[in-house]
Amino acid sequence: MLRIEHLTKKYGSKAAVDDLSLHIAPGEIYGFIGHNGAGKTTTLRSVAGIQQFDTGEVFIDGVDLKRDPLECKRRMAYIPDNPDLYDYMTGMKYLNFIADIFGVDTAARKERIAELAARFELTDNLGQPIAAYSHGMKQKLAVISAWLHEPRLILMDEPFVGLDPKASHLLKEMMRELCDRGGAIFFSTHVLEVAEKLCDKVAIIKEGKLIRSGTMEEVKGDDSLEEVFLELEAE
Amino acid sequence: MMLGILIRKQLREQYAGWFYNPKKNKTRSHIATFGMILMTVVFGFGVFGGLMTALGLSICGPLAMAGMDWLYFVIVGMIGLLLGVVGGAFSAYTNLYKSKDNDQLLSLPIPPGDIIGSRIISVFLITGLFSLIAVLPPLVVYWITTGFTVKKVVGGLLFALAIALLALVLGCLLGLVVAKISTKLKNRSIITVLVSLIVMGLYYFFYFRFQMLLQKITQDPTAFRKLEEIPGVKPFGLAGTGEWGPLLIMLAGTAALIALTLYLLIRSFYRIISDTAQVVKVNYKAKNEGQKSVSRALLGKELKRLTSSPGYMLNAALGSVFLILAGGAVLIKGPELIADMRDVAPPELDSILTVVAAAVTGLMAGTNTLAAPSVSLEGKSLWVLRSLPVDSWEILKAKLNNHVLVTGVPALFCSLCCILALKPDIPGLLLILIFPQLCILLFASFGLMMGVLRANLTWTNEMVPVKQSLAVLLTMFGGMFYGAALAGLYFWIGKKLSAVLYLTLASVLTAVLAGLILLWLKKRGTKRFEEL
Repeated sequence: MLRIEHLTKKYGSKAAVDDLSLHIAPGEIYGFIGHNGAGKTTTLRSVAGIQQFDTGEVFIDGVDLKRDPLECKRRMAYIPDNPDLYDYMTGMKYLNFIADIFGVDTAARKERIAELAARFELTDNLGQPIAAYSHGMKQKLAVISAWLHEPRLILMDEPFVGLDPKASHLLKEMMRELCDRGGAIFFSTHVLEVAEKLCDKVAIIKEGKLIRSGTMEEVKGDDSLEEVFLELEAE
Repeated sequence: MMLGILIRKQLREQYAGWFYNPKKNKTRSHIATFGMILMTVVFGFGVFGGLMTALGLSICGPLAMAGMDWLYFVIVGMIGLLLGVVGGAFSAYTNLYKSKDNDQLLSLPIPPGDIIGSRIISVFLITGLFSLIAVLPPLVVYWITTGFTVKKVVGGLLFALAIALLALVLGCLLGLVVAKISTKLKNRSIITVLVSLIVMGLYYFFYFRFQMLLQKITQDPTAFRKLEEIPGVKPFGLAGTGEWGPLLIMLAGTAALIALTLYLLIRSFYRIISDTAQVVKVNYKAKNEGQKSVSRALLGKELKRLTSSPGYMLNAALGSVFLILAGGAVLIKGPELIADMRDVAPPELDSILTVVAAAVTGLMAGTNTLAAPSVSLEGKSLWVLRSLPVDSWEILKAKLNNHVLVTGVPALFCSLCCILALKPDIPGLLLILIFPQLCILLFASFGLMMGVLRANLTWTNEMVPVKQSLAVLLTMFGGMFYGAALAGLYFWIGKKLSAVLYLTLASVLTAVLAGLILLWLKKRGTKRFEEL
């Protein structure tokens, strides 16, 4: 589903991501762990086609991101760590804007918005300007907009920050549902317990380099993910 | 101490573009910084200062000869006040109350007075600058005409400062009124625009009255001596000549007004900030939203961005209002005026009027700067567009279309009004219709090019990209330069051709330039946009 080959992104002379390779198969929830400034967001933004990278290749569903970025973007969705949405739109206008861009037809968008908004208990707030939303509500709206066009791959940067426990639980359910339908999720998190319980595979990044990746068992063995992470960080 | 820190933060944000290149992530060289400041000074003082110098030269001599120096300073002071208030009125409300860092600053142990104080400084940098540009050149004209003395120089400079501060007070009070009104009403953007337009309408009303008054003053200044009977008028003017008594009263009055304004602003600041953050809860009622094409969705987004922001509308789309008003005026007054002119004017009057109508409509449309700040206005939400499966050219095209639509429709209305009033022949009709639209396309594409090249995505107050950005300044400067170049070329070589032929050639040139810039936007502009 997602193939990252030798991805490198430099800011000046400093490599934020250094020769990173990663493969994510359909049906996998892939966690991405690392300390602050390790290169998680840069990797996710590069894969999402938001940020240009220096060298390497990214394939979404077999499509080369550099050759056909629009086709790649049609197949995926991205949720940033801080959802700065269009404050001047209402929630509903924003969702319709996203649906228009992805060409979601009227009947399908109506049904999906109604269902997703109801699940996140956001229906009553869709008429409000986004400027009036709390951080958590913006995050819920970003999640709904990401799911709206039924993407094959979803990239998420710290998706649980700001969500209440109920919404967090729901998001985890939705992530699993998407993967059960053959989709894939690649997300960063600092909450190691969440990664440990939710992810099929996990990758640990340090100073831009991938230092360990694989199934949860391969990465942590008999230890907890937290212990492994701290041990690797100390090296 | 705290105020100083906040002022430094405010100035760093407001004028960051002068000292820092966000693209290269490097401090600009001293030469580049100097060049940018020089360009701003030349633009400000060169254009507006030049106009005020011309005004000073036309009335200073006659008034000084008649011993009515005080009236000279009444006129100069009033213009300074009006220019300062109007210049700052459109941004005072946003600068004072609508910053994105409101919550962050209020969460810190900072007294509201310091927050509002630092924002007043940023308002002063607009109102004060406008006032000083209006007052200082005529002041120098006065010194040169009547001779330098310490009393005149010190008094005159203090008078200029007092005018700038009074403009600040009025600008801030207007911002406060708009804020108070807007917290009570639903359609805040529209109300703010309406209040500001009323202020502007009053400005132009007085401005035109002023023009007539100035004509009469230069013809017979002594006829206005009776103005001194109006209480306060003569002392106000005498303050500018350096008379210590009136000057001290004026300075004391200004200080008192500043204190009162500060008190009012500080007292209401917290409540206004909290109120403006509140939104009346409207429960969503399901509506049938039809599917739109990508280009229509993107254009809709741009239009929504524009109509949600009074500051953006007033600063970037005011030309549209002028075009509608001008069209209406031409329709109502035009036929009668043209009939009167035909009795005395040369036979080529019709072709001259055709050219004037096309050129003025085009240049009036050029005052709109919607496209220039549109890239910067994406701010931190740029990721939304960048993550969507939309070609960058589609995104830029939506910004261009927004400019062309909002300016082009009123321009078309104005053109049609001119056509109805002038009844030109077919070439003239085509010229009146096409030249303004070509100007709009050129100014929109040039503005967008500047917007892409000089994007600033890290603002906390939207007035920074809308009003104080290099992209907008360069666009306005470019528009004025183009207008002046076309006029200059006409007097140099165009006079040998017929006016209509010259404007036809100018239309072709405008179309070619617009085409070249559009080509740049499509090829290199999209790449630059993707690198942001």
